[in-house]
Amino acid sequence: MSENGLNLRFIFTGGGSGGHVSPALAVIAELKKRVPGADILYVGIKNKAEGIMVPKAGIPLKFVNSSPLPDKNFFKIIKFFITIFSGFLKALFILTKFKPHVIFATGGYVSAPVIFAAWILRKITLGYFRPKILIHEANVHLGKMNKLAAKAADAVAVSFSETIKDIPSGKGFFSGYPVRNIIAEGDKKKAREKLGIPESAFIVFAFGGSQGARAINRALAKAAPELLKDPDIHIVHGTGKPFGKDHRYHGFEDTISLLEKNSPELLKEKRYLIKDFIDDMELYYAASDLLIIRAGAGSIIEVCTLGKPSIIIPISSVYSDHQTGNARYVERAGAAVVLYEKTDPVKGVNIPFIETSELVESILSLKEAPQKLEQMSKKATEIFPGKPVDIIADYILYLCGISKRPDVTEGVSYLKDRILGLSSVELEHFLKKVNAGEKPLLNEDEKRLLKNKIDTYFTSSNVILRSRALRIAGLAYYCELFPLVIKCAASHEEKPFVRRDAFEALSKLITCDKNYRNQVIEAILHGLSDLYYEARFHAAKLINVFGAHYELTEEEREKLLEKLYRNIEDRCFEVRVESILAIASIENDEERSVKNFEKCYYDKIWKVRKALFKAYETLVKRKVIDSKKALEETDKILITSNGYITDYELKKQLNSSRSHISNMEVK
Amino acid sequence: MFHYIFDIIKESGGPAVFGYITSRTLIAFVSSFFVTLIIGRPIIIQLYKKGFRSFERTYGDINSQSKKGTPVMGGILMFITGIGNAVLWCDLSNPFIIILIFSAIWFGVFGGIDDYLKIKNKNPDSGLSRGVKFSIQILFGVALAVFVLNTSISPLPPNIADGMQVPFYKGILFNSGFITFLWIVFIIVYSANAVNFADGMDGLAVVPSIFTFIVIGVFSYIIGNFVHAQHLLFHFIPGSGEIAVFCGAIVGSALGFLWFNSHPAEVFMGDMGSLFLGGTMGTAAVLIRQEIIFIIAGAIFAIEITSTFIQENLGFRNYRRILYRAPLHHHFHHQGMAESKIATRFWIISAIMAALAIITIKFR
Repeated sequence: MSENGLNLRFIFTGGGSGGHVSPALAVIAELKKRVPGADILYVGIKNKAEGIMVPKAGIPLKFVNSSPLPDKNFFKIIKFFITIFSGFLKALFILTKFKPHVIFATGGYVSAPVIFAAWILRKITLGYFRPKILIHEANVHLGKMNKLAAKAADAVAVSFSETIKDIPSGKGFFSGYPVRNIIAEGDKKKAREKLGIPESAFIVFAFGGSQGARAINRALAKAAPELLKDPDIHIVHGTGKPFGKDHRYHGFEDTISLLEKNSPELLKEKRYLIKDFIDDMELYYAASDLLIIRAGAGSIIEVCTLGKPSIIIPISSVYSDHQTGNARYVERAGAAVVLYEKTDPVKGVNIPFIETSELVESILSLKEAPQKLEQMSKKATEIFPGKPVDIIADYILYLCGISKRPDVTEGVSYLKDRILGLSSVELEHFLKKVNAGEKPLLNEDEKRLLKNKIDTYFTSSNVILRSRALRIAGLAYYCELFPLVIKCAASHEEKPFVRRDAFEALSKLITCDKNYRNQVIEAILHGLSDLYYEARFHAAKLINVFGAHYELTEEEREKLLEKLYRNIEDRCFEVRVESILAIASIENDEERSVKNFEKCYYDKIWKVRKALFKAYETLVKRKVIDSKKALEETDKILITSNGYITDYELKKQLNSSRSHISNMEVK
Repeated sequence: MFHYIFDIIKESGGPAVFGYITSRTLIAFVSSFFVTLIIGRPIIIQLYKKGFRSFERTYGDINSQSKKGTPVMGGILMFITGIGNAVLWCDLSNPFIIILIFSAIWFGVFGGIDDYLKIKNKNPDSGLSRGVKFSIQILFGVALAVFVLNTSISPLPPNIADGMQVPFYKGILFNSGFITFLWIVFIIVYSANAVNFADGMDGLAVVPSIFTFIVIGVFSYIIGNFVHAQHLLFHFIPGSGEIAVFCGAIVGSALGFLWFNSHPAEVFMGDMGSLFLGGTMGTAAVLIRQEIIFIIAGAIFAIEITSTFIQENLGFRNYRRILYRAPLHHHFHHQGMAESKIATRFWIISAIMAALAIITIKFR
C-alpha cells in the first residue's frame, strides 16, 4: 500500500434514488483528487439512478441484484430472499476479484448484498480478507437495512448527530451530507449565459427528485400559466422519470399530457423549460433564484449548502414523516417555505396534491420580496456547517491506515417536533393528553400539520388507520371533516370499527355546524339499530351529548325512545348500559320508563344495574319522576355484585405522603 | 443426585423406600415447595431492587388501585427451585429427565431474555418479536420431534413413538411419523403460548398449571410402571415414571410461587414463568405421548388461546370485536367481574377438567 494510492482499491455502493448516489459521487471526486492512482468501482442495481449518474461521472459500474424489504406477502418475501441471495453471490464474486480495501455504502437496499458478502467473506477467511466497511446515513432515522449493516460496519457516518445514538457504540461519527463540489461551486452569471436566460430573469427551478414528484409536477403544470403572466419569471421543470419498466407514475408523460389538455401553448413557451431528467444539475442549480424541491435529506442539504432559498414540499406518508421533519427543520431556520401535500377526504381525493393557488401565491410573494430571499439564502448556508466530503475522505484514508483519524466534529442537531415522528397510536395518546390539559395546546402551525396528517390517514386504504383517523379528528376538533364523519357513522359500507369510531368522533364534533343537526339525528337512529354492538352503544352514548346542545322535537324523541327501549334488552351489556342512560336523559314519561327499567333490575351484569341507579338520579333531577318513587324503585334493584375495586393502602399512603412532601418543598 | 445416594443405601442393605418413584416425587414436591417459600421473599426483593417492575401501557402516576410496580420475572423463582429440585431428586441418567431439564432451561432462559428486554426498554412491546418467539418454540418442537421419532436415540418404543393415542381407546389410533412430527411441533408451540396468554391475572396461570402437571405426573407414573400399565391397558414406556418426579418438583415450586402470586400478587411470573411452565408441560405430555389428555387437563389454556385466536383472526380481520376483550379472562373483567372471582372460577373449571382427565384412566 503506497502513499500515492497506486494499490488502493475502493468499492462504492448504494443507490436506488439520486439521493443515495450523489453523496457517493461527491466522496469519489474528493478521493480521486487525494489519491489519483486509486482503483474505484461502483456497485449498484440495474435501472436505477446510478445507471445514469455513475457512468456520466466516468466511474466503472457493476450490477448486483437486490430489492427493498417487501410487505408481509409470503411470495414476495420468498422472491425477496431469492433476489438478495443472487445479489449476494454476485457481490461475493465482485469482492473476491476486486479485493477492495474500503467499502463505502450510502445505504438503501442496494448496498445490502455487498455488505453482507463482505461480512461473510471476513467470517470465512477468519479475517484474512478484511475490507473495511464505512456506511453513510443521510436521514435522521437509520434505515432498516443500515441498522443491520451497522453491525457489520467499521464505522457509520451520519448527517444528523441524533442518529449516532442508534448505532452500536463507538462506530458512529458525525460527517454531514457530502455535496458534490462542482455543484457547490456554480456561478450564477456564467450558468445563465450558458443556458441563454437573461440576467434579469427570475428563475424558478422545480425538481422533485430523479424519479419525479407527482404533486410538484401537477401543481406546477397548473400554476405555470398563472406564473408566466409575470414577464420576468422563467420556469425550469424537471419532471423526473421512472428508471425501470415497472412504475406506477411516469412523471414526464403525465405532466406533458396534463399540459396538452389544459394549456398546450405552454409546450412551445420559451420561458417554460420542461425536461424529464436533468443531468447537469449544477448548471440549473447555479442559475436559479428559487427552488421547489422535495425534502429528502440529500436535496435539502444540497440546496442549503448552495445557499438557495426554496419552497419545500415534503412527501406525505402514513408511516414515516422524516421528510416533513427535514422540511420543518429548514423552515424553522428561516431558509425555506414549506407547503404540505394534501388529500381531501371530504371530496374523496386520495392522491396527494398541492393547491395551485397556494403555490402561485408563495412564489409571487417571494419574488416580490428580494430582501427576504436574500436573507433566506444567507440562513441556508448557515444550517449545515462543516465539510462533509473532507471528513469522509479523511476517514476512508484513515481506514486504509494512511492518515490519522479525523477529529470529531459537533453535528447538526435536529429539533424535536411534538407531532412529527409520532405514530397514529401515539398521536391519539398525545391528543388525549392535550385535551386533558396535561400538555400545552397546539399552535396554528401544529394544527395545520395535524389536519394534514389526519387527511393522509383518512385517505389511506388501511381500515384501522381510517378508524383511528376518525378518533383523532374528534380529539383535534377537526370540523371540516364533520359531514364526512356523519356519513361514515350512518353508512352500511363502512367497516364496523369505522362506524364505531365515527360515532365517537361525532360526540366531539357535534357542535361544529348546527346545520347538520338533522343528519346527526338520522345517523343516531341508524346507529341504534346497527348490526355491530360497539356502534350501537356509541350511538346511544351520543344521545346524551346531543341533548346537551340541541332541543329534540317530540317526534324525534319518540323515534329515539322506541329504539332505545328495544335496545334495553340487547345481548350486549354495554348497549343496555348506554340505552338506560340515554333513556333517562330524554324520557318524559314516568310510567313507561319505570316499566321498562324493571326488566333490568336483576341483570346479570352489575354495570347495567349501576346504570339504573344513575338513570333514576337523572330522572329525578329532570323532574320526570318524584324522589319518593325513585327511592322505592332503587330499593328493588339487586345490589350484590361480583365486582369491586382493589385499593392498595400502601400505594395510597405513598401518594399522599409524596404530594405532601413536594408541597412542603415549594413553600 | 440423591437418587445415587439412595441407590447406595439400598445396596448396602438399607431401606429401599427412598428410591421409589412415588416417595421421591413426594420428597421433590415437599422440598421444592419449602425451598420456594424460603428463597421467595429475598428473590422478590432483589427483583424489585434491580428494577424488574411491571409498568402499564398507559403512563401515569402510581395509582393506588393499579398493580403497577409489582416485581416481574418471578418465573426465575420457579426456574431455580423447579430445575434445582429436579436435579436433586431425579435420576439424571434417564433420557426423559435430560430432555425435560433441557426444555426447562431453554424456555426459561428465552422467557427471561424477553422479560429483560421489556424492562430494559421500558416498553411492553419491545420484548422478543413474535417471529423470534415462534422460531424458538418451533426449533425446540422440531428437535423434540426428531428425538422422539428417531428410533436410534428415542427412549420410546417405535410403535408408540409415532402412534396417535386418544382417551377412551386402548389401542393406537394410527401410526404416522409425519403427522406425529407436525403434531409434536404444534403441541409445543400451543402449550408455550397458551400458558403465556393465560398469565394475565393473579394466580390464573399457576393453578391450572399445577393441576395439569399433577395429571401428567399420574399418567407418566402409570405408563412407566409395567404392572400398572398392563393392568390399566396403557402402552408401557420404560423409564417414563421418572417424569412424575420431575412433575413433583415443578408442582412444588409452582405452589410455592402461588404463595406469593395469589391475589393481590406480590410478584408476577412474566414470560420467564409462563414459557417455562408451558414449555415443560408440553414436553412432558409429548414424552408420554398423551397430548390429548394434556389438552383436556389444561382446558383453561385451550380456552384462553382459542378466544384470542377468535378475536384476532375472525374479529379483527373483519374489523370488529367478537368478544368484549381477549383472552377470555379480560372479557369477564370488562363485564365488571372482580379478578379474584374470575381466577377462582377458572381454577374450578381447571380442577374439574383435571379430574375428568384422571377419570379417563379407568375408561379405556
